Amino acid sequence: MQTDVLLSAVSVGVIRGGMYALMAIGLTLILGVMHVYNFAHGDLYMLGAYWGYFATVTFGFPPLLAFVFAALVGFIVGAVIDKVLLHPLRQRSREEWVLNTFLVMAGLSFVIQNVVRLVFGNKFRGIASYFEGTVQFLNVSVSVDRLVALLVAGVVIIALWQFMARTSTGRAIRAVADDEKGAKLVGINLNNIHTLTFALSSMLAAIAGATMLSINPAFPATGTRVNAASWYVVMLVGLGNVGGSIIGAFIIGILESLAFFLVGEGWPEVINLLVIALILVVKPNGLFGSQVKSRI
Amino acid sequence: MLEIRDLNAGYGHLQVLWDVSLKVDKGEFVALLGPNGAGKTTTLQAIMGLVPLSSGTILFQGKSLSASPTHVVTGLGISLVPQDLSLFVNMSVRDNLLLGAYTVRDKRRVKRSMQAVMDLFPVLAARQRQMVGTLSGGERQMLALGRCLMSEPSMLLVDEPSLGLAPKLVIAVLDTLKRLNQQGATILLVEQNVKTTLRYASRAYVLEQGYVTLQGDSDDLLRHEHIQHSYLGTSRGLVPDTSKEI
Ligand SMILES: Nc1ncnc2c1ncn2[C@@H]1O[C@H](COP(=O)(O)OP(=O)(O)OP(=O)(O)O)[C@@H](O)[C@H]1O
Ligand SMILES: [Mg+2]
Repeated sequence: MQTDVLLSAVSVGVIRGGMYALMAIGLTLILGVMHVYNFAHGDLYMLGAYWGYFATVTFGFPPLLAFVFAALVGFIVGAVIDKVLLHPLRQRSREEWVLNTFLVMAGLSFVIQNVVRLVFGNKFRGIASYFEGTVQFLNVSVSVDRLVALLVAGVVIIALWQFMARTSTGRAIRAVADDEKGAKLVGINLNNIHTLTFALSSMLAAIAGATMLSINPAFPATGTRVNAASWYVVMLVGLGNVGGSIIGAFIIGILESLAFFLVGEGWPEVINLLVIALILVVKPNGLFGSQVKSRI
Repeated sequence: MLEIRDLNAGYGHLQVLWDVSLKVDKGEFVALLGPNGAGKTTTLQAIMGLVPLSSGTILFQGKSLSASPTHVVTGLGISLVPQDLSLFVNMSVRDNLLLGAYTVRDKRRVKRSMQAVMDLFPVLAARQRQMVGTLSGGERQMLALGRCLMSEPSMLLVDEPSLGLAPKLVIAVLDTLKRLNQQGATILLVEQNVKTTLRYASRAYVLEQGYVTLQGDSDDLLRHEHIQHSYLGTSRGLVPDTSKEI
């Protein structure tokens, strides 16, 4: 009996971990490449859930097409946010950049949530399921939807990894994170890379939001908890570590669901924060150290 | 090929360059000499669009570079090896070189320049998969130069490559630059080491406290009284001797 609970807790945790990995990689990319602490990241997830909902319910798209639709719209939304908000700020001054962009993103979060509330209303928009049925596995039953969400996260992360490792553009993104002056000197247009990075990050959040729609319905404040959990991951592993954030995402996901199953509702956040605090006491740079330089 | 006219530039309210003019013709090897803090690095950064100009013009192949962002300048065929190298230290040697060819779209050309750089610096060929963070100072200098060459620039700007290198390596770097120059690259080299540099460059400018104080053929400069006094230490000049003798 107890092992069954443990197994379900772990399987739910692993699935949440896939979603947190998508979220945390996006946060880490923006942090490493643009030095922006994006506290509106959860709202990009929330928008993704809406795109998934409209694609499925309003347009009647099949699930995979709905995910692609959410990804595309998420990409465009991210590009627009960079061009409209961050680009002008970058042109004006890089002084106090971290603080200024933090305030801009916090403001953006507020605006997005309220515009969504105004336009889509203050109600839950969810779907019963993308794919019906459950899969039985070691006495634990997991819904097909959750497995698909995990699978999509895995595929997207591997694709992103390949893009970053093998393509000229992916290399340019890493170069900007590594040395901005060097990147400019080899001929990289930083503005394009910044816009692309924000767009990619927003796309990952939108995919997470859309794939989890049957589990977390779309609602103006859906992103708040997800945002917090994604930041826990980033803090846990150390700012700016993409590989580490994948591992951290699963740690947080499993921790959260163990707390939920074994201790009770309301406890996951407390326990998450406690564990993070303890880890940071022992390893102040996070589990895997930090790769973000402290400049700007 | 490159012409700077009455350039004034600096950082915020601090003006560093005062009416600096200089010219490098196609195929030339020209040196920019001067003590610490004279503004040599600032001059190269102004050419690359890394420092804003307050007035003056910079022409490359007859076209104005003023207000061009750095990546555009690089795209025109000017490449800078900065004083701090600005290598991508968390990336592999190979990635650094490939990034050097970022503006080159033709894959065969990238392959060709990769081969050329490997032939020029066999050490780098053996270290392709290694992270830059693990390279020695000399290897980094070679990598920085190699990364520049990957875009097959028509003009090379090199900022104090001798910095922190053993004398033998300095000669090796200068020999390499000479060879590249003979193969057709136009070179503007910034150095503090007057005597050695003037053996390699055909002409030189001397920058002191933001002003071009002397210019001419290397042979004439070597015999010039001010150079003899202040840089070659044949007698005590007013300016402290900042040359690093080899
Ligand atoms: N980023 C900066 N902000 C403010 N002042 C600067 C900056 N970089 C350089 N300076 C100042 O500009 C002046 C010229 O510096 P520059 O680096 O061009 O000299 P340099 O001739 O290259 O000297 P060195 O041989 O030591 O490299 C110096 O007084 C320096 O302190
Ligand atoms: Mg300098």
